[in-house]
Amino acid sequence: MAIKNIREAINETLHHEMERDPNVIVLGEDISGGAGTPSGKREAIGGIWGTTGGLLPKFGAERVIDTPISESAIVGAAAGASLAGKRAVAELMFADFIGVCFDQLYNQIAKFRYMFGGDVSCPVVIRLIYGAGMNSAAQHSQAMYSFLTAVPGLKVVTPTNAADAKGLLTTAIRDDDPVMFFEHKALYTKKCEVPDGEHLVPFGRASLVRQGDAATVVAIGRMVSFAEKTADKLASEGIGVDLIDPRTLSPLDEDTIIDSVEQTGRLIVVDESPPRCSVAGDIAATVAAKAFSSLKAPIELVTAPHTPIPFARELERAYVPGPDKIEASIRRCVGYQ
Amino acid sequence: MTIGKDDLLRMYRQMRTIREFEERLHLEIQTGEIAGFTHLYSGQEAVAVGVCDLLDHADTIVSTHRGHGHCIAKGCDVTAMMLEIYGRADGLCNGKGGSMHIADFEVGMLGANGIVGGGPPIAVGAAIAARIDNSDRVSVAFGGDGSSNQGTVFEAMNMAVVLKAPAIFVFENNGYGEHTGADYAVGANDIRSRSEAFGMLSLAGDGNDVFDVRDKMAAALKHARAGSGPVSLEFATQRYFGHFEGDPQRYRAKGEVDEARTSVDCLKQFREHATVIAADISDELDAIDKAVLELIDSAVATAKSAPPPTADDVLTGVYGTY
Amino acid sequence: MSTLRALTMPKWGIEMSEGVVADWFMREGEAVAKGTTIAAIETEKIVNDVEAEFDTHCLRIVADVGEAYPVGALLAVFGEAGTSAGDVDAFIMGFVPAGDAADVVDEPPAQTVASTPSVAAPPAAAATSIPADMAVSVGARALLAEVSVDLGAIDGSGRHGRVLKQDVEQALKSPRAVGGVAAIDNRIGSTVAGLAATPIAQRLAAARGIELTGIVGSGTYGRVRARDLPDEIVDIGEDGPQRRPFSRMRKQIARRLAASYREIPHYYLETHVNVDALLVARERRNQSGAIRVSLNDYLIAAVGRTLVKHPDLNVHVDDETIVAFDDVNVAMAVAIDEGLVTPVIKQADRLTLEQIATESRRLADGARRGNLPFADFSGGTFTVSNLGMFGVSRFTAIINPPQAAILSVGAVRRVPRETADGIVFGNELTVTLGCDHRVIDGAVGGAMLATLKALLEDPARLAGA
Repeated sequence: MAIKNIREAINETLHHEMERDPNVIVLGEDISGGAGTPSGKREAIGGIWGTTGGLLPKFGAERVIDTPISESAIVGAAAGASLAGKRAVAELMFADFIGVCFDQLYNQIAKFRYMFGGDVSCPVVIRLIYGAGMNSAAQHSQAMYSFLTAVPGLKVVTPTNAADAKGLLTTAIRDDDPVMFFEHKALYTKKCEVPDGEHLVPFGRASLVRQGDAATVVAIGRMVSFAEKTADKLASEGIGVDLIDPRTLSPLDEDTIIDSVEQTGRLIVVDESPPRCSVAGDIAATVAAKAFSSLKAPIELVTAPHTPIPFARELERAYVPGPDKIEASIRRCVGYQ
Repeated sequence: MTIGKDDLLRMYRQMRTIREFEERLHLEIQTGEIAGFTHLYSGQEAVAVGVCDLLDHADTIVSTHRGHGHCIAKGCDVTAMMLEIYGRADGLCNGKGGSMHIADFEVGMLGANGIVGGGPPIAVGAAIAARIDNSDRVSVAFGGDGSSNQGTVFEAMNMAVVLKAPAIFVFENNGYGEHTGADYAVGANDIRSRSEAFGMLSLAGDGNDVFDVRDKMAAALKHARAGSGPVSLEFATQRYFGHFEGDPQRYRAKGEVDEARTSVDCLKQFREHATVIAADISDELDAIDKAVLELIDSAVATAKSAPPPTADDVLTGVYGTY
Repeated sequence: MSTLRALTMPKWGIEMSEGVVADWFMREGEAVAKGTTIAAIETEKIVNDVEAEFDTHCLRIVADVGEAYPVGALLAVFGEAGTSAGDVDAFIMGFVPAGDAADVVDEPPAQTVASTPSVAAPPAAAATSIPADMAVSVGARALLAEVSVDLGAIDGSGRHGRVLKQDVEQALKSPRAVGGVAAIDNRIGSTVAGLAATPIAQRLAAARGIELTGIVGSGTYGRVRARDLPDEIVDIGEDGPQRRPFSRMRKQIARRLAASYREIPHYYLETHVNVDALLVARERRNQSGAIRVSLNDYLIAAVGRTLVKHPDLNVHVDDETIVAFDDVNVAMAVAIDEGLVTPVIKQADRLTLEQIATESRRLADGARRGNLPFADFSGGTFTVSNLGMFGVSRFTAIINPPQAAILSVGAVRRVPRETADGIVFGNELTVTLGCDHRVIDGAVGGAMLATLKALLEDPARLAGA
């Protein structure tokens, strides 16, 4: 075990998987950086998030591919390479850019297996860097996972700590289905102990982050960090909650969520994306449908508002669901009679 | 490029198979037994066959919504295709794809595509894979004049040039993007020079002459297999049927299709050329015509009597594991 | 197997869920006579004796003294002496507590005989055994430990068919029959209204038989809302009370009178008027005149003339302003089907009795027909309300704002009067003057009432009227 942050965990996993399997390739914008510049430098940047550093020198430009700014071509090329035997890991520098390659995501890679009779596979991983918290405003901050969770044929992964980042990315690269791997930009420096050597976290298996019987809190992505703080604060007052990190939104570990709600009877879902047609709404609907008789209080949804993401610090702070809102919702839910 | 009699017979059989397949579908569709949208390839056979004749199964192609010809030319089983178009459980894609989504990875057919411009980025990816494998495989992206206007195609062409990917972009200019003329919709009305501007070898040829197509493809393959990067090929051709079956085609000139069928038809031209190369070939071509008719008869009969998938099949094949 | 009977934990009162066996007063193998005390059971509230309900034998005591058992749990087994231990064991193994669980199992579970009889059998919880390969949620698992249910009949609603708590709960209940009775008409009431009416408006319109066409809606894009419908009686059902929303007029009356009663400090002055002379004078006039004059017409004429002399009562109150009028416009309360209206006899102080009679008839008829112009309802400075025709002897009407006073007129009564000649019967009516104390002091009101009384008791002074 060693303490690592998510950035390091992802970088190491990419290194490890590329070493392990020569079919693994990485592509995206500025994956290495510097190509075609007067500096003559290759790997001038190593990815703007620093997650792909060191790959080019080690594995060469054949497998570590800097692309033009062409998201459709990036995702399509990743798909085509994977149909032809590779395991492509493509990076979308900002998840917001799915808008310019959505056809390749939801019409192409999501459907190949099904449309072509079930036997072909398209083992691509699309790494999508997402989330608010860096004042990147409306087109560079969105939590886009709801869009892709809605698409049959895609798997959607949202690691929230370095150990899971390693375990989930390893699973994603070795998985035979297309995986949308969402990395929150504000979590890259979050540290924790990461298992050495092989570490795989299965998809569809939530993690129980905190345990308690007053309520069930399901938090997604960065919201897990906030909810942890809230859960610990409330625990000091004698209010214990089950805090569940689904880790993968598709497949979703309904079992863990429903097991918990059957015990607690109260559900709070915390989601950084806007409220309509969201993962939070989906989880709430699932629980309302399948654990209706266990519910003792209305389900609380703690989400961003139905607005684009604002720029100014004060506005963005107000936009992101923070520990205060989570705490208020938990208290309201637990106090409901 | 020298052509032997075997080559002639093979190419003719392929073109004739495509023609009969499509002409028969045109009739069968009118019975209402075949569901959904079908886009027929009749008239363009020389392009599919001229391009695919020099490929082997390791090479890959990515096709379009008008993909039956590409599938047959690349080696897909005709009966399995017919079953798929009829939506049968034993179709090439188990009835899940249909006319617009036929694929057979065994023969390097990476899928027809319902989205205009959806295929070229995928073909570039397959080409990248070929290069990583240090193979001389190429990947062909079929498209039409319509797809030449799509941004995805521009992205794919540029990326192929940047990455020197062994991708071959084949543009079949049949003069119509759906119900609008290429004269109107393709700004420069010159796809070849458009491709050339991306920095790749770009050639144009006669899409009604399978020999010309094959020659241009040979040049493209030589370039791409040598690692010199992508190639673009533009072929002028025409489709004999509408954009889709049921299209009233009010946008076409009176007698336009009849004129094409009698003057520039690729099969007609082929017979004329072939008899020059091999004077005694006519009887063998006739025999092929007969054999192909029997094949298509049999494929249709098989498809009509084959069982449909069950409702349970809806749920399978979405994921490998979930 | 001979008939075995179970002694189970009784349920005393609706709140009892479990009880403790405080003591046994019988032993295994003993004969038990009907009526003998066999056990003491302790609940949170009481300790009670349990008596045998029939002559039998105690074959097996299952429950331990001092232990708590849920209601319905098996405590002991009765039966004929000599019943084999194996039969008793089998009975215990197959025992299903009465109540919810027993209601739902289609058939009693097969009674299996334990190969090794257990003397100290645990309380017979009807647990459902869960196959090892069956996916079952935590809550469902806990529930299944307590209840017996046919798991094979459950189609798990969780992921990949996992059985959830809710699935078990539903399996324990008979599903409510839904549908399958008779076809219903689910069409929207008015096709013309279509989407342009809210569902509740459509339902109400259908219930009231109202055609939605032509109704101007107050909702978005003119959508007809419930409040836009004309007021009609809504019949809730054949048996229930009729509920009737306020009509527009009723709302208006309610609002005005409630405000008046709430805000105006009313006080009432009352006097009895001897109308013997008045009745004689009226009789005489009506015999000769072309126009019949009513007692009410006399009253209005008298009020008109009185108020000229007492202008402090002929006012409106506008916030903290008193608005005084030269003309005396007497509003007369008229009951119509829809409620109460108060048309106004203008310049009642100057009209003759015949003119008042003519005018009051026009107003009353017009009000009942609903075709009076607005002008006939406006400008009243004082109101006369007469319920005499209903035999009401006296009442206290509520002031009709912004007026400051109102006169309530009762019925003419025969009353004994003491005269020099002894007791004689005469005619009398009671008038009650209601005043707004904010602007009319008691003395002012009293003076007005005195003038009015004097005038009415001396109709000759009204003769010229």
